[in-house]
Amino acid sequence: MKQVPLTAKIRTFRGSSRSRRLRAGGYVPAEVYGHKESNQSIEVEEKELSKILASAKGDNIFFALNIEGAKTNEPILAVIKEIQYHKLNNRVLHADFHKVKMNEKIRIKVPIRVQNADTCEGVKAGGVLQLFLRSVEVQCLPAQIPDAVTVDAAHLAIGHSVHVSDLKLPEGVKAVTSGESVVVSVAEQMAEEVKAAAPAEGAAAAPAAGAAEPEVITAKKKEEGEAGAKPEAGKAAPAAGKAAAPAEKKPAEKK
Amino acid sequence: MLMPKRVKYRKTMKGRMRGHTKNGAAFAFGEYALKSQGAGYVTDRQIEAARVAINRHMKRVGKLWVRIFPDKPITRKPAEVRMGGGKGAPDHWAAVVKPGRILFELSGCPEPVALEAFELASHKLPVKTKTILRAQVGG
Repeated sequence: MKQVPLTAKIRTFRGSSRSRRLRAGGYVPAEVYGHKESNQSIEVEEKELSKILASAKGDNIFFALNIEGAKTNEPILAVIKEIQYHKLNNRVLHADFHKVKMNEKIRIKVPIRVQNADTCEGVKAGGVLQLFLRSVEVQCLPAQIPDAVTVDAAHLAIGHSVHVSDLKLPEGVKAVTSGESVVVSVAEQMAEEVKAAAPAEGAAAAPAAGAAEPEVITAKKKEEGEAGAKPEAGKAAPAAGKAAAPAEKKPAEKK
Repeated sequence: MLMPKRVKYRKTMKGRMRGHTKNGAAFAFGEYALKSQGAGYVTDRQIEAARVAINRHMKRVGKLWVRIFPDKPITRKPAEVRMGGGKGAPDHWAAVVKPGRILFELSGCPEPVALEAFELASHKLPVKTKTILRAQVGG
């Protein structure tokens, strides 16, 4: 795992409005915690953090936090435990750093990478390769954290799957995620194709279908929602002397 | 068209669309996604039109996930009817979409194809959208 230095400042305030002002100034509020020590509120430069995260491309990184104003000048080794992004512009809003000690085991998520997806047996036979897990949580010493866990899909036939228990992890690395969880599987394409293709072809006929379906819905809804209103409808129906089909329009007429 | 199988009430109140989306802002399935940048009602027909446009452009390669569902009944009064006399009859269904909501997700197709497919789909939708990539977002 890469180790990247990151400068931080001690943050003395809390609260949303001050945090908002901090973000406007180009900094991100963050927390450092771990090892049963009290947590420390810090602020890091947004540009610097975003640049590091972009270069990591989803891999885990060790951050060597140089906190200005801290009691010790030694950098704190940490990993990102949680990170919050803005829902629209994807800017970093907040980060949680978890302190790491090299002689203590940690739990961390490691990305899963699928190899030979194009040359997969099942895909060649017309199946679809489905990736269910993109990362697996492992427990190991910080020095043993793998960059990624690779899955070879070359020999996967249709209907076959790879579970977490099938993953080949390096020595000293133990999977925390349930062994029964499916990582990758190859499904038959035909069933999905029929589903996807039928409405696509019938797009021209869609208005006709759309016109037919709402009647069914309103009928269903009337059964449930208009239980109390039924007597009124019943009164109106004999007076009108019409069949049940135009019952949908009756409330509108009354109104 | 997408619609609920059962509903508790035939008609709902309009409601307001304030703020950003609460859920459905992060990737769940695919590699590429179409994200809403505005708020609005996306009707069942619009969802279907966008879905068909994406599927046709992809030519049966890859997989599509529709992340919104039209569960809100929208009512209309008949033509040439004076105001008053109560709420109109249910006309169609719509999904309430707020800024940041992921509308569609795609996987298993090349990036240019996905971008073009989403471009076509965005023309069918009443909200401003943006295509995002999982690799860029870091989901």
